[in-house]
Amino acid sequence: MFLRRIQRALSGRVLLREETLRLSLATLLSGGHLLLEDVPGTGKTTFAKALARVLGLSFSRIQMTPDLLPQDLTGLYLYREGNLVWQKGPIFAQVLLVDELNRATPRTQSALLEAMGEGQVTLEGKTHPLPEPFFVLATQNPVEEEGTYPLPVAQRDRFTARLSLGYPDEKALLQAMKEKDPLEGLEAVTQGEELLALRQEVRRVKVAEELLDYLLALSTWLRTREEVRLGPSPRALLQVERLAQALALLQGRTFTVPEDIKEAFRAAIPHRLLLKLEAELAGASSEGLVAEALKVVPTPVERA
Amino acid sequence: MGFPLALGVGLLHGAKALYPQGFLWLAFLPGLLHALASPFPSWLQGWALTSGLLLLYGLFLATKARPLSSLFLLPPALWLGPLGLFLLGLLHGFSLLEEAHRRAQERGEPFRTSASTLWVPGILGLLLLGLAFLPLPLPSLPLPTLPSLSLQASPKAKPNPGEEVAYQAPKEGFPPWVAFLNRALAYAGPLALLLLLLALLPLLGRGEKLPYRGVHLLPLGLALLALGLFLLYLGTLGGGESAWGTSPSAPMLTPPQEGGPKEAVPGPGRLGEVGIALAGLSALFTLGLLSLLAFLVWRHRGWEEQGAAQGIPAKSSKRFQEALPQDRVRRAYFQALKALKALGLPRMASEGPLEYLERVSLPLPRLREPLEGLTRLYLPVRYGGRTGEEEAERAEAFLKDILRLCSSDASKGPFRAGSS
Repeated sequence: MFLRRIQRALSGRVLLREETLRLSLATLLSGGHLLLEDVPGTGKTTFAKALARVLGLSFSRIQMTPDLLPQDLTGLYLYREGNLVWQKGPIFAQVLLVDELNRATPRTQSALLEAMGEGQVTLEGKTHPLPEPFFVLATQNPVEEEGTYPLPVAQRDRFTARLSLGYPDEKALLQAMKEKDPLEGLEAVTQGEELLALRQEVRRVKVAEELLDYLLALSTWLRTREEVRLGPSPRALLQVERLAQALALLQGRTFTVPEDIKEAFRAAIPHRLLLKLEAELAGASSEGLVAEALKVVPTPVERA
Repeated sequence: MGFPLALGVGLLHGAKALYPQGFLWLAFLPGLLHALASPFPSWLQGWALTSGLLLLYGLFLATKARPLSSLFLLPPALWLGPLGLFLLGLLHGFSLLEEAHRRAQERGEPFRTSASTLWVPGILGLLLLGLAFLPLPLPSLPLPTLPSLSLQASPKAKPNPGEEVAYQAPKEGFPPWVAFLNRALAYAGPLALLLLLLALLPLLGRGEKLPYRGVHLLPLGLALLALGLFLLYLGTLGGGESAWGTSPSAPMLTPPQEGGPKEAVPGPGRLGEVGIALAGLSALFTLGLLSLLAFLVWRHRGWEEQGAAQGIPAKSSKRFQEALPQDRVRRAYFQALKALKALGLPRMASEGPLEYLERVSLPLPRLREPLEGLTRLYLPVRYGGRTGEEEAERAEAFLKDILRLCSSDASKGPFRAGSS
């Protein structure tokens, strides 16, 4: 099974919980992009590199800084020997690690919008398709850190899921300290073609009508809360559905169950919610609201 | 006398189990069989005697039920005959629904139609059928005319101005459906008014709109039927006075004798073939509605037992109200949930099947295996669109294990106090 293969390959090398790996792979298979939010030093970059290697995909890394320009990502036309020569930017890779995304200015962050939404880059009136599968794995420090710019709403909505790696437990940490280089000897256990085929398979996973109703009920519950200024967008709900399908496929099922919807909702919605200032000051959080929605809205199961 | 009595005894026994709230008024039905053997009005005496005996027997049977509430039906039923019985039956049906609604409100549950409402359309249909065939002891009504299909003008084809056209019945007599239709139309007027009143009562006479799931189709169907019949009745009044007298049991089917004096019959009604078509359509439509209603009630027959979901927000509770599952795997899972609830481990409204499995397995590890097996069978049936028939036996075997383990754990009672 795909998930087990990747797990075995990464076992002992990357400090990762099973749930995080499952959601990361589900995001990749759903055709979405992943936002990793954590304090520095928790293994975000190592995880991204290791993932790209075991997936057998081309990898590229951009370190975001406040003086980075959009062309530094997308590439540019250079004048050489009387001709305009197209110089590809680092964005032309299958796995793109955007490190510390929120250190770049909103202008540079926005350069990613077209690439993440449509899988292409347009420069000087010419459209350049990105390689498939195209997977953006961005890391960001919590916005309280100095020298960071909060992500624009449109940018946040492009990320299917936001995850936090968290600190590993002592046993895993000890194991990591013994390893000299976690990426050494790490080999690909799959290829891009398999990933593309799995993406097609994800679309065929059945989502029962009542589970879609359940998803809508969750979304309506959030939108009608007083604390919420901006609720989940239609794009967000579509991505939750696709993510739930991918989660079901990774578990070896051809249909989704309420737990898939819940897990996908928990990963895909909090970073898109905008709360009212007074609610935030009163201590409300988007994660708390999502957890409450999942606790209150009934699941479509037999009732005894 | 013997056959209706025997039939009535059987009917009362059967109905008592299914319909304890008001089975006694079914005592009035078997006596109607006398009408098949005796002419009016002598059958009425047989009907009253049979009904009285069956009523006494029913009272004897129903010492623990609530038979007295049905006794008030006797005098009006005897006075009005089958029509009265029909109307009172209808009222009784609505009163049953009212009571079920009240009970549900007392328990704080959403009202759901109980299986006993099946009796309402069933008996209503039977009585409507009976009304069309039986001569009713009602005061004289203006009888409608026959449709013009079977009538032929007399040889004097072109009458002088002011002279009435004489029609005669065909030699071979009228087909049977003409008598049926004629008799049904004869009572359409008062019946239509009464039905309209009854139909409007549940729609207008309460604070909340259409509280009954499915049953609101009944007054709608009746109102449409009544309207159709009433229109037909008005339409057929235009033909003039009947030549058959005021009694519907007059010999209207007798063809004129060969060579005898020609029987004068009224002219064709204003609706004619259109009326027949309307009557047919109306009957078909009503039959369809009643069948649909019966199907809906049958499909949702477990709702009352199932109870309401806990902690559901008002907005979403309507969307997720569910029936007792028809599929065997789903039913097995439902029964397992009931057993675990009785043990003090109810599934929370927001819990998914896999989350519930994990939670239940912690305090009851012995249950994990059968519950996991049942959950694995349940998931593809519920969410994967599979039918569970091929896995039903396995699911029921898992259910047996769960019930057995639950009953052994129930004697210890560790979860009753602190149910989640």
